[in-house]
Amino acid sequence: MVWNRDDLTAGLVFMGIGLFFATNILMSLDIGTAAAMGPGFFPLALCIILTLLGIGILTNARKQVLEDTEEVPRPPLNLRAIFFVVVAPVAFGLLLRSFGLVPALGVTIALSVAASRAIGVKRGLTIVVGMTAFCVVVFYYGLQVPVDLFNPVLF
Amino acid sequence: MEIFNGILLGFSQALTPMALLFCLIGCILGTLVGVLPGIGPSATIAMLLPITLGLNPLIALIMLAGIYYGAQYGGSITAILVNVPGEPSTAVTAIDGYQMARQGRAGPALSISAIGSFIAGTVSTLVLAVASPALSQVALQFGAPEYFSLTLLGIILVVVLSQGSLLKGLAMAVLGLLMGQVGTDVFTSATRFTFGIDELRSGIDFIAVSVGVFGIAEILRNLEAEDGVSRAIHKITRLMPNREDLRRSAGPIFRGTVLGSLLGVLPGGGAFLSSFASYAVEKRLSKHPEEFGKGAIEGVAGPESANNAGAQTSFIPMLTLGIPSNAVMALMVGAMVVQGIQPGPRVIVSQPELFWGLIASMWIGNVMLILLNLPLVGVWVRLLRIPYSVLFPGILAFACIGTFSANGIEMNLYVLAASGLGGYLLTRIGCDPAPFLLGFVLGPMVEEHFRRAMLISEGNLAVFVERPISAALILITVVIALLTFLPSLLSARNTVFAQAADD
Repeated sequence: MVWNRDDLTAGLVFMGIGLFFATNILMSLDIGTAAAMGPGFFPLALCIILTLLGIGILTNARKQVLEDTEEVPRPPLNLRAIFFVVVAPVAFGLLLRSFGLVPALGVTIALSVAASRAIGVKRGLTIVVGMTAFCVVVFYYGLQVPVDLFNPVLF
Repeated sequence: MEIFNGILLGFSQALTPMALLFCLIGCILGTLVGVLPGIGPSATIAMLLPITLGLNPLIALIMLAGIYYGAQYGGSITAILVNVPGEPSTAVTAIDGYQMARQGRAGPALSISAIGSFIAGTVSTLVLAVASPALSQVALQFGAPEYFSLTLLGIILVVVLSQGSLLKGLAMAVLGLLMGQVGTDVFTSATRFTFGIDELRSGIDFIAVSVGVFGIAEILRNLEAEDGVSRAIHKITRLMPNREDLRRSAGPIFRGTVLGSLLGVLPGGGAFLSSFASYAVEKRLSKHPEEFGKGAIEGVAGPESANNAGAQTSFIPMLTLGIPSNAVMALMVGAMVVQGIQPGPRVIVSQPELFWGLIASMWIGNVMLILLNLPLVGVWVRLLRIPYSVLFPGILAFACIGTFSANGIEMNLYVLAASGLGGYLLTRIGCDPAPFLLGFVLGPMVEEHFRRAMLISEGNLAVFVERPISAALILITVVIALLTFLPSLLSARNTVFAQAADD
């Protein structure tokens, strides 16, 4: 018997999340009774529903095989894009206070440029410089976000 | 008379230079993101939320609303000229609109869609002005049990009407509700699910999550199929429709307006559903259905009017009940909450200038949009030549700095990255982020109403079916849930969507 892989994954993910949070609640939060609910009551109810829904999706994953399901062809995961796009905001958060807005923006935009193969080196540099300048104008001078352009301790 | 006074008050608020300026900014941004296929109004509104913190609430709402209905105008330009829907709600417009463009009739298609949108927008804003005060009067009678039942109904409807698997939609909504529980419990001030991270005590940041699941996830989706290729764009020769076009469009515009106004109010409705429904109706009513798919102007006029009408009236449940009917409205609720306004029936009474000002701005915005779209269509077409690879690094930078500037906490950038990745991966396995965001926004509210109701009834769940309004709402919810889970109807629903997609 073949399973629908998307439904299988989704079902397991939702079950996993439900059970994980339920365990967390049972270990650390007071549940109380329906008349006098503790902080754990409502989230625990949600966890139970989520786990049940996960089981429901799993059951569906088996049923769908009987009918002929046309698998929608879709592009494979672009791991390079995922890596750079997800790392970019993290880098921004790590660099902002210690180095200042300009270096943080530069690195973030450079990382996102690296996510796409369609951008050449020359064009990439133009985007990094241009977008950094643009963001500095809009956010630092325009909206006056309270951060240093360069960390005065370092520069 | 009261409505008339309200409208006067509204215009006095919406005609100030500040309000006009931000209405224009919203409309321009809306058209822009509508035209560009890679970015939609949800992501834009999410990214601009932090910027609106410094504005007064009315000005902020005027601008954000302009982005939503402006995107309905802009999306049709891309649909007609490139055969790529700029917005999902313009997907059906692409069917006949693009065929018209291939026959050298791009101009009439564009102008009919703008005219239809304008008429629909104007009329449905009137519907909004008349219906909202009445509905909020009813809603003022609601207690905690009614609100809980209403929210339940809203969530079920959103899940039922959104595309994709029902179970997955429900699971996403529940996951959203659960994520909304993170932070300090208002009743007992116990902390929940913070895992020792202090920044999570005040909850997971709404802006970071919405920018993540819309903005970042959207970038990742677009990068799946990297295209550096520039698109083939059809030329516009003659802009104005002839008399025959106008004659054939009058009916579809009228019906599209009515249909869109009705469907827009439904939770889960709004622009997207309205345009699909209108296309189906026009095809059925047409004397020459064989022309559909080959450049029938009715197939442009109807859906374009309907999606704009639906976009306007989807504000009704948000403004009167505080219950968002789609992802954009969930963001609007978020925008009001960060401004310190609790959305709900009291907004019309306690802040009439906010409610009426927003409505008046929609009329002004629709006038601005028809001016922006018809004479300036050439400018927007030029923007279509910008490749996505140039746009997305900028979008990403905006997302980062915008999220940070909302409250200056680095933690939110990590939340942004995580929710972007999570949202993207869940979409890949067929889980729509819209019910998630809805649940996330409603989470704290649902819990509060549930706990209040349980306090009143001393823990007896029967309270939800003993009070008549609540009982009716629960009954509707149960009926809808049962109907959709019946297999026969399930397959019928899939055929409807499949048909709409095939046509």
